[in-house]
Amino acid sequence: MMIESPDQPDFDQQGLDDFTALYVGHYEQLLRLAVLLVGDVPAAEDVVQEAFIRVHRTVHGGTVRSPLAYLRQTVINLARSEVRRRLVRLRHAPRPMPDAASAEEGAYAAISRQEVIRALRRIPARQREAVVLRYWADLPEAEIAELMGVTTGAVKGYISRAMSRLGLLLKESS
Amino acid sequence: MTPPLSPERLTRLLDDAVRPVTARPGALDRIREGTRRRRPPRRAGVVALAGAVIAVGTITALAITTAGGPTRIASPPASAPVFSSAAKAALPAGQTRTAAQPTVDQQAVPTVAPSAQPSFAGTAPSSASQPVLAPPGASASSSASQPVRAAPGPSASSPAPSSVPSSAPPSASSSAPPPASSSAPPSASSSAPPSANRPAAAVPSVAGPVAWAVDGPGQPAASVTLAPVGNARTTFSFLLVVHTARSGTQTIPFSATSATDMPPLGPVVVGAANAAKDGHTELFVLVDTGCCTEFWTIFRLVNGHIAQVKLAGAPVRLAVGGSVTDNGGFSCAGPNLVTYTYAHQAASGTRETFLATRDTYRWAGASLLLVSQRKTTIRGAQNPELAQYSGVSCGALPQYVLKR
Repeated sequence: MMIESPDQPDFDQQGLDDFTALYVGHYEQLLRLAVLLVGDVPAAEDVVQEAFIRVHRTVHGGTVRSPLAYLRQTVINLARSEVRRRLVRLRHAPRPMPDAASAEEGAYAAISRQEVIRALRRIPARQREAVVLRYWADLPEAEIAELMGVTTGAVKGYISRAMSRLGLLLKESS
Repeated sequence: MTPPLSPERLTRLLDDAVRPVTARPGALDRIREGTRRRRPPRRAGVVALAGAVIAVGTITALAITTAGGPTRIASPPASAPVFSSAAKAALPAGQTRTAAQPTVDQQAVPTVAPSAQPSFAGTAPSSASQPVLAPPGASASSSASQPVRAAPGPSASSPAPSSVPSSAPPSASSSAPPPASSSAPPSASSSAPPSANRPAAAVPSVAGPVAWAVDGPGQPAASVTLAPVGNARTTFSFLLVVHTARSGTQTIPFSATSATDMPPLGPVVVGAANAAKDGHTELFVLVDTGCCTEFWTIFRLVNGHIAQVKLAGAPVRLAVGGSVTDNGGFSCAGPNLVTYTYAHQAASGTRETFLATRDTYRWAGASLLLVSQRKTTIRGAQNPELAQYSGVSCGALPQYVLKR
């Protein structure tokens, strides 16, 4: 076994390692963010994997300065699209027959059964994004505004309304 | 009137809700597969396309100019434009070009300067900056047996989750780099070493790349990194990330017994050796430490997939080293893996007795199967026979990583 020389890193190899580092460092946190935004694990996995695929392509195209910010933005956008698609599907799809769930699915279902996840599903998407980014991802309001493409004032409004609504929903459920 | 939901309570609820969510094994592989499927078009193709567009425009302009009047719009000539000087030279001798047969040689095609290659350097740490430590006491004279640290788990401000007692040899801790903070902001620890000043967004735990000849002799070596899963300060779950030329990147989850049983700075790649004598080297990783004994696990290639070797259904833990009362080691000199241990049994009169065990295991895919077991009672702590039941004899693997 030998230690690779860091002096002459091959670009592709270096990029590959950095991408792996990006995955290892942030995949799980982004997955959790996506779960809070879309409300279930399989859809969140799809969202985050798609985001990573896109960031891989774009980074190699040389247009991304901050891959993490780009990833987070992509996750939020894809989660938004997923929720929109799901609403359309729910409106038009017939009720599916229940299947026997695996143990893993049972664990995922447990996540979906969390009161706070259910409450988050019942508030508007913008409010959900704002409150999750503020109180779970711990981002400052200015950064949330940038991510959501709105003003800081709008973010404050979303958070305030979300907190009132969540307080009500969580009180109801308890 | 509804009592307002406090931010602290909401944060706690959100944290609790998503805590069980973890990355599925193979997620990275699926992402890589996705990136391979959607590879962007080659740059050369883009350049050729741009050249073709410019060439068509040039030809059209030439045709309009030579047609003799601005009111006549000429269509491109029927003959295809010649793009290269080589094709130009291929014209029949004596044939001259007319305005209707313009040439567009390479000079007409704009050259595209190679763009600067992107780098993650600003946001993710370069793997080259990760610590690579030689064992304090191991007789590792070449890089072949230099262990590579995996996860500087504990933060600089919190005590390291270490099981090494205060009586441990000072060399075990003094030569190790100070643990890096994974969560403190850069300004939070001005007295901390440079490695502790990484921003929280960085990945402090990916070890430097290690080349592992997993594909066999003559094949390109695979690069290996170890990384923590989840919070680097508290986790004892890790990923072995192996990038091979043959089968792409594989991630193999593994874990230490607990955070307190781990080596002070997380698992350590000890080295690789052709233990099974099949030409594909096995990778040895230190995962647990007791007061005096190290526990190594093994990864090997099985049917194109890298797997953690199991023994009796559980990940293998080879005991290496120990104290005067207990010791262990192994040998891969033959086709089988032979483990040795001895343990203090009793003291009868002035003589101590030790129970020495020699287990022989056969390699069977990702498992080790017990072939034979021999137990011997050895009398006397100074009995030279005891020495046969300790130490590592397997390629260039060191005797110990953290101790001695």
